Parts: sequence; C-alpha cells; structure tokens
Amino acid sequence: MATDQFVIDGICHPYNFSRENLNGRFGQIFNDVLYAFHPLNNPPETALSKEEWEHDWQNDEFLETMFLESDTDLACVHSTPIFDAYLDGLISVEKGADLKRRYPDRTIWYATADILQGEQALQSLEHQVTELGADGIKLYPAQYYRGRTRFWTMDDYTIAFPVFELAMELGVKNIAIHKALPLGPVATEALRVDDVGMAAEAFPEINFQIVHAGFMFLDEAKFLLLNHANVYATLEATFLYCQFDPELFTRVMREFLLYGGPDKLIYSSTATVIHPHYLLEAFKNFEMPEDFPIQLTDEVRQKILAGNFARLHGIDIEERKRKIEDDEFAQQRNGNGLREPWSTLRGQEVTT
Amino acid sequence: MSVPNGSPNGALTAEAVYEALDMVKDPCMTAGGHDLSILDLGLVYGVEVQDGRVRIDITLTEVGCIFTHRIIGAVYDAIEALPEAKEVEVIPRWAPAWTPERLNEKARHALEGSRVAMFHTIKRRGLDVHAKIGRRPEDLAAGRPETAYGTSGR
Repeated sequence: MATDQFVIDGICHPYNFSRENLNGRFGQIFNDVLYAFHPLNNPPETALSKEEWEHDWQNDEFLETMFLESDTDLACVHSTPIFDAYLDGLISVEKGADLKRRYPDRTIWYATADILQGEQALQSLEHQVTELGADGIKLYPAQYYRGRTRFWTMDDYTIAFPVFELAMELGVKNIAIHKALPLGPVATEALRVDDVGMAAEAFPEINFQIVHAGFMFLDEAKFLLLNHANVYATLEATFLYCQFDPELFTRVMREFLLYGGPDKLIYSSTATVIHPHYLLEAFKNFEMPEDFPIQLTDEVRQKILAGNFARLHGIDIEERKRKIEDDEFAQQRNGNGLREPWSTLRGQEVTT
Repeated sequence: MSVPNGSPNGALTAEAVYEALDMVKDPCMTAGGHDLSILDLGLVYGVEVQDGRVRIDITLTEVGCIFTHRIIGAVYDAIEALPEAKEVEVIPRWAPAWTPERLNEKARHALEGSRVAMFHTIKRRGLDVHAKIGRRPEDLAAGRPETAYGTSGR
C-alpha cells in the first residue's frame, strides 16, 4: 500500500470516559466493555492502563493524538446522546462545536439529539447546524431507560421523517445512524438495518451511513448497499476486525465489496477506544484472498480511507491537502516522525 | 433466586461467589433450551475475594457478543445479592480467548451435536488471533505471566 494515502477517519471521538461521567452501573459496564477492546488493538508496551484510559479527552490532545501519532489527516467527530450511560452523552455537543470552530479544515462534525424528544430535538439540531456549523447529523435508535428500551426506526413517519425533512431544509446531506451494535441490553429491533431502505427511498438527496455496518445483520446491510445509491457502510468497530480477527474482516469485506463495491465503504478507527496508528498499520498489511475479484489496490484503499467520505461532503482532497500542508499539525509533523502512541495523553511527546 | 451462604463466621468466601455465579445463565443457551450457567461454559476466568471485596474476570464466547451488557449486569446482580459482598468489580476480558475446551462436562454433554460446529469455528478464529495479543499492561508491569491471573477458577 502506498504510504502517501490521504486518511479521513470517518468516526473518531474525544470521548469522556472519566469515572465522574459514568451514569450508574450501566455506564460502568459500558466503560469496562469498551476498555476490554483496548488490548486487542494495542501491544502491551504502549497500552493504556484502565486508569489512563478512563480519561476526559480534551480536543487539543485528541487532535494531536490523531494527527501527530498516526497518519490520519482529517477527523470526523460525532457528538452522541448516550445519556443513559454517560452524564454528558459521551461526546458532548460543546466539544464537537469547538473542534469545528477552531479546526474547520481538519475536522468534520455531526450534530446529535435524542429525537424522541420531538420538537425540542429538532430545535437543537437546527441550532447545531445553523449556529454551530455541524456538517451532518448522528442519530441513535435505542436507549436503555430504567430497565426498558425506548427505540424508534428510520421508517417512522412521525419520529424519524421530521428529522430528515429538517435536514433537507437545512441543506444537510449526511445522516449517520447507529445500527448493528447493541448499546447495552436494548431491544435489537431498532438495531436491525432494514428500515434504512425506506428512509433512503423517501429521501434520495440524503446520504445515509449505517454506522457499525457488518457487525451484525451483514446480509441485510449488503443488499441495502446494492439497492440504494445513497446508503453507505461506515465501518466503525467493524474495522477493528481487520486487526484482531482478519478472517472475519475478510468475510465482511467480501460481502460489502461484492454487493456495495469499493465506493460504498468508509473507514473508521473507533479512536480513542483504541489507537488509530495500529489499526492503519494493520490495514496496510491486510489483503483480500488472491482469488477474490476485487483486490485492495491503492485506488480501492484510497476510496475506503478517504475518497468516499470526501465525496459525500464535497471535499476536494487535493485542495484540502494544500490547505493543511502548513498548518500547526503539519509543521509539527514535518521533519519529525510519528509520535509514540498515546505519548500526547501521557504528556511525553516522543517521536518514534 | 436463593442466596448462597458465606462462611459460618460471616465472611464472604470464593465458594459462595462461585455458587452465585452458577445461577447466571447464558441467554443463548437458554434460548437453545439448555440450562447452562456461565460457569458451565467456562466464561469465568477468575475470582478473588478479600474482606468482602470481589473481583471477577470473565469473558464471553465471542468478541462483540450482543448479550455482553446483559450477562455482566446479571453477574453484578448475583454477587451484590450476597449479604457479605461489600464491593464488586467485574472485569470483561477478551484475552486469552474463550475456547470450547473451557466447557465443563455438563456443557459438553448438553451441546454435543448442534453447536459443536459453531464452537469449533470460534476456536479456530480465537486461537489464531489471541496468540498475538499478549498480556495486559498491568500484568506486564507486575511481571505476571499470561496465565498467572485468572486461572484460579475451578
């Protein structure tokens, strides 16, 4: 794989994993389960202890980790409304808005709201887009609430469609929907992907990204990619299999490449649950079986790593390269190697 | 649910914790008509009990299991129901990977046939992957070998 690939991380986050942010037992289990993934990605020499990992990531250290410790060039951050587990929702709107305001050429930001709140949620989304500069919208279909699941589906005329109509009105072309990966003991009905088809048909001007596509409901997702020009697979969490279960990753990529094609897949690291450097290195070394008709050529890899996402947001990669070639991150990178993974978090900015 | 007893002097014992863990069922097994606990499946890597504080290391048969939260929550509920339990910590671990060798005789007998193929698939993937993963940072720092922690399970 060429070493000069441009990389846009389709979803990465300055999470607030601090213990003070946990909402009871549910939040604690959330943290414990997410941290359990960490050693699968990270060699023990640099792995974070649980105490280090349970951190309220600040935007500047998050960006330095992404851009100075890995070959990531742009970061797309989703704010999240996971209030059932984290008091601030896990990635606050304030963090997203701050990133977008201070680093518009380096970040893409998706607004969020609990759309079960109806008009209040619509007003919040409108504010985040028009006043705070959000580029897209991220939605969660299920919540764990006092032992019960509250959920909605993408084909719901009264809950979901008003959000899509608002997006159209505001000129928002990208909506990402969390699917295929249960967040706690929630009902799985809302995590199926079939309902995305109805939304995609009704709103052909909007691109719908199925976040965590392939983690579950692989067969259903691959047909959506095939059937709908405006449905994409954003491989957050699923991409981790590239590193810790290449055989399963091969199976997912085989289906998605055959049915959706290379133009429908979006790389995501899931950082900072894990470190993006190790995942990108794993993908560099990952190949599809020799007899598979769609090989991971440099061209195909570039589409997955940046091209597809850039196209959805109207980003001209060559123009963007010129914009950031001398910014503060580029200046720190020039002439220096990558910093050691997690050295920014540890306050030990060592280059490798 | 009945509550297992601690030792006669009121101190919580590992045996009482194991007895409670044996009441936590795996939802997939229940759905398949099998009365198998997380102990039967070998999902408990280790139990430490000291002065009423309990630490349990557990795994699941596959990374990303959709019942992760449900099972871990059930473990907390089971142990916190013990009157002598003062503090409970449940640590999910993906390394070392679960393999079918961890099934006890009861589970092996119950699962003979229909699920054997699935378990062998998991075994094939898991062994290869987790051989590369290495040790946890805290184990490394403490100089503990991979198998030193979590093998105290029965």
